[in-house]
Amino acid sequence: MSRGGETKVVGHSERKVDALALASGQPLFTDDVDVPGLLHAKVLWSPHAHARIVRIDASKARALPGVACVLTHEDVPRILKTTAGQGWPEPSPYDTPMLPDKVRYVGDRVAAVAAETREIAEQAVRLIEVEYEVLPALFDLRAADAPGAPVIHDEPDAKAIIPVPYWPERNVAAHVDMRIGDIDAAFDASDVVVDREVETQYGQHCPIEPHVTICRIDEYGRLHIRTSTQVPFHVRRIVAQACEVPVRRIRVVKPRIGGGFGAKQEVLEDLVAMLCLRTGRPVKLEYTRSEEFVSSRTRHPAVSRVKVGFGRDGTMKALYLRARTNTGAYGSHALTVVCNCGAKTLPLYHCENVGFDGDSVYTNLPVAGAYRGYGGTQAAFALEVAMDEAARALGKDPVDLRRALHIREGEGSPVFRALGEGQEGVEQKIGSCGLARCLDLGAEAIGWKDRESRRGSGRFRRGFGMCALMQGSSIPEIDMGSASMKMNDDGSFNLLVGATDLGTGSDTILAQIAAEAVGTTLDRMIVYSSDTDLTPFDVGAYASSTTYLSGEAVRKTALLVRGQVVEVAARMMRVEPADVDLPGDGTARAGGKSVTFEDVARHALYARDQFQIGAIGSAISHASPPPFSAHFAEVEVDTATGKVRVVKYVAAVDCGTAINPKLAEGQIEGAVANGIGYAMTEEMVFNDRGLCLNASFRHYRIPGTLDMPEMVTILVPTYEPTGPYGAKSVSEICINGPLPVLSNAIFDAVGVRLARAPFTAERVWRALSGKGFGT
Amino acid sequence: MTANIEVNGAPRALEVDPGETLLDALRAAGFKGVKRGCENGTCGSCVVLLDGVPHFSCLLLAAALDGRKVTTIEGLGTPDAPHPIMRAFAEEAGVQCGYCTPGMVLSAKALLDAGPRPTEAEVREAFDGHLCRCTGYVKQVQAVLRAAAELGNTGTGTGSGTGERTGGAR
Amino acid sequence: MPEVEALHRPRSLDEALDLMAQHGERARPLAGGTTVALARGGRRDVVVALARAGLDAIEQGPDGLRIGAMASCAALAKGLAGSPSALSDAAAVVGTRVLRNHVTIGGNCCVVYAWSDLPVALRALGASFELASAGGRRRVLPEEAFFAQQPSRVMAAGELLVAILLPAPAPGSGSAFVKLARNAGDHASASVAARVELDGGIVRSARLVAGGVKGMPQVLAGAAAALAGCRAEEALEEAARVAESEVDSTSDFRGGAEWRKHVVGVLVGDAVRTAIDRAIRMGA
Repeated sequence: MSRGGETKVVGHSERKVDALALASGQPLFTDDVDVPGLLHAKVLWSPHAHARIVRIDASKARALPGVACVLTHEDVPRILKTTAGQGWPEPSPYDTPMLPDKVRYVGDRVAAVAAETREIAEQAVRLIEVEYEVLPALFDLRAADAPGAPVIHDEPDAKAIIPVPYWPERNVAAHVDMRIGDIDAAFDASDVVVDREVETQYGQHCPIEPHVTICRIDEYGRLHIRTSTQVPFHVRRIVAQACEVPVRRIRVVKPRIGGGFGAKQEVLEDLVAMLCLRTGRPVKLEYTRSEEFVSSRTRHPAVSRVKVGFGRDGTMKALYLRARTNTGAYGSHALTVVCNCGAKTLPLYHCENVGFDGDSVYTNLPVAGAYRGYGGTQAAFALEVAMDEAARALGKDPVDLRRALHIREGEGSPVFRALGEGQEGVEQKIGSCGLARCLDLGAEAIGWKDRESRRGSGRFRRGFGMCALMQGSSIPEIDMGSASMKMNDDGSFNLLVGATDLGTGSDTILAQIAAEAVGTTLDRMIVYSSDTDLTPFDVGAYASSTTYLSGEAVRKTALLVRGQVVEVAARMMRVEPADVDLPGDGTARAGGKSVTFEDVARHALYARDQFQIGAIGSAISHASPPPFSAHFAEVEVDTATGKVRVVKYVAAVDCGTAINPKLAEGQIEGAVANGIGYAMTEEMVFNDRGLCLNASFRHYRIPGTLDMPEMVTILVPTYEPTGPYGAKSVSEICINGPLPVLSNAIFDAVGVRLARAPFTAERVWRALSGKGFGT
Repeated sequence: MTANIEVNGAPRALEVDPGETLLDALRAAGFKGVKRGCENGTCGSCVVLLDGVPHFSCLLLAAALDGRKVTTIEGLGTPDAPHPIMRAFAEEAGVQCGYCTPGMVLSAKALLDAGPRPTEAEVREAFDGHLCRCTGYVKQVQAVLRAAAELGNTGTGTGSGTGERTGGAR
Repeated sequence: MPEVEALHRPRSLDEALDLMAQHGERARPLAGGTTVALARGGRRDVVVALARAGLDAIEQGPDGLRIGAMASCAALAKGLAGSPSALSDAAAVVGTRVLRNHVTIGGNCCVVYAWSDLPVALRALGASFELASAGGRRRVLPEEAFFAQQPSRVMAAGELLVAILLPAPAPGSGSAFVKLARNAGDHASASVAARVELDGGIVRSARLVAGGVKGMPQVLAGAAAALAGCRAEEALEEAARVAESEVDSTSDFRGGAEWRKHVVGVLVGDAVRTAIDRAIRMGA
């Protein structure tokens, strides 16, 4: 680290503040409280991909002893909203009612039951009689806007609430396009043109804790929502909207949550909130694993095509991306994910002629939403595979090609301005870039130079692949985070943040930032987060914003508090505030004198001219500084069966200053593991009626310990001038690496291109057939 | 019906439905460290030790376990008096969301009870049956190796710093 | 939660068999629990928990191995570690390590899925199945009869599988089981078990069984015949080709039918090579 000077707490691998409580199984999660009189909710899910509900009769279910409430579309107000937990006004279309009168995928909501036990609720769900008029269904994202395709959102009231393209009559939920320079002329002038299309599949986040919410009416008649969410403030706003309850009557509390990865950026709490309001009793809705797969949210499948033109000297003349994403039955995050396909990839390389067309289409398949990587995953696959093919066509080493072309510190990209999330972007200059060093260190760690000698020649072939990546840190000029902080008698502090720790460790790194800024040790920082009654606003945990943006809010707040501490200490020591030094150990010193923070607190609270030392502060971002990363992998391909084994994986990452290096490594390793799963095995498979066939961990395979390769994680420190203590984001970027890296490594091993994920043994074998590999 | 099960060393007469899983019975009895993740014996977040051996509590019928001994995470330690494996998980950043952690700590305990100094491969093998979506498993494996070393009183240091840093291992 | 009317915990096999007889069609034996605990809705069973009925011994006798039906995969993988065979190979890759503490050999044989591993190995090894019912009645079925269809249809109401009998390996013989799955702990996309008897480098006899591809384990008689009387290395390619063509396969999310047939051929080669290595080590 540099520029920030020596830090005492920031930059150290402090123990996660909740680690011991979690490791010892304390009752910290949503469902770990016993609520007297709790009702259990169950949902009747649509068996049809596309159908009108002609008649629905819940009388038998309502008559079942133990049933407290049954809701169908006839019982709730029709208020179209988005479930995307985004800032208001949301860029996602308002196309989702609490309960629809037309179902749009197998797994769509039909009705909900609250009953005394889970078993009674399940039984009641089976007693609801529904008559459907089955409609033709649409499953192919390529055919979504073809003439004659079934129109999924034919209701007249679906709409976008900001001026963005929204053409539901053609099943287009979002569209974006951009032209910089003259790409046609630039392609004509190119000596080498690579045109590559890739396809990515339905995948699910698989938080080990499924969605779970407990709603109750509290002692003051307010709706209390204890929920597993990444976006408590958006939950409050959207539940208020859907249930027609004022925001002031709702309190949302996020306890510890068992992972989110974007799945819990969706506001699905409206239904259980309504059951609670109607019954006046506490109600729990807990998804089963199969419901988590089908009826929460997924990653947007995509077809992404990159066309890139080069001069013979290796300069990039033209770069074009076409992305079509499948948003499923509802348009949650439709626009912003497809925007990010371009925004998180195209600025990476120097190029004066850049084009991008993106659209997101409705289909009668499960709803896609936010998922770590968020468009970057889908498009980086296309771009970095195309770069690999370009390097071969140009006769250049793939590392050298990236090294020559990537964006550098002090440079801007016209793409930053042209592409935002649902609106125009924001001009920015790169304030920090360690990509060159990432490329060097990553290449060294994988043994890039002598890879030729390690390929092997028999049935098992080794190959090596790499890629370069960028992401962002927050949504500039949109996201806001805030914090408040107060000092206690003993010199400790309460740090209250709206930011949402979904297991990432953000409570810890925010406390580290606060302790550093105020001048004390981490054990004196009591952090409490994500409670809409008690903590100040924060947009929530998404868009790689927490460290960068909420961290900056915490730093600003802590500096205000520090100023007050200094003032009181100066008064106590009878010196000028300017002469007071806070060495970081919870003391204030001036000359030979010293007072402890405890002395300062007692003085402020009890001595004279008393006041509460404390402050509230906010931060918005004016830029979204990209973290950078270079990934390398070694694979072994069994040419007889097609089975690929990932042998070794290296991720070198520039996340600016790592506030907590071990936790940053954990983010990288977790993202890589998730990315390897998506590249190698994870795929939701549907039958010809839109039913997911493998909605369980038995059949949808995420990686376990025995699937993981040797993993090397390298943190390459840079100093981001706009971030707190030089920090940028780290959580998302590394999930984007495995798709291109492993495709490139397989190509290197056996000379076939896997352009459709996951890279199953069968797909590799099919690609290999006819390539002369014997068994 | 009654299932007389020793939970964390204390005999308990659990009143259960004959079809009730041990997962549901334990959670109803207040052992919230036993987590519900998939309910089909795949994710490992409900793992408990049954007579010292890791089992998915979602696949066991509580009523069938009369006379058996069950250990849950609550039987291993508390935040104030953590088991060395818990402490190692915390120190090595092996805990992210923490939902899978109790089960993994229990499988690690069974491993270390069976042989004090496992190899890295043996630790990975012991975690086969536990899914974690946050970590990539590197830190948990390191945590168990560290706990093994500490339990053997040989001690290892861990670094933390701000310079270029290479982590991860297999 | 599975709907269970009553759960019994018999202390002996006789007690268990009496309960099975008493409750007839409604009686549901509980072994490792992976099937029973996952049952939802439907009929209300009377569960007979077999954990303490004394059925988990693994005993070496003069004629071979007698494996109690309640022996877990973990116990099998450990107990047979000294003499690697198709069965120890298979027991070591059923599900995950934690799941293997649950899954019993009896349960794995009585409820057979397309992907089940142990039945594939047991068919290759020529196992037989000891069934008991109340009143001291016993019968032993050879593997081809036991696995002729779903064993629940082969077994009479009230009957329990109590042990699996493995003949002692003939001198100069070896066996192996190999499985291809999408990742560790997944069910088989395809699997093959092989048993060979060698005579001076010549395959005297072979038995090959494929699993994971469709329905019940499939005996690959043609491929085995292609090996008999030959030097294995010279006949393996032909055996693989025959296996590919004779095996019946299906398409699902674990793989397409055509690829699965091809993989069975590859796995025949892998399994036979390992089986031969083991036979040679055993002194063939």
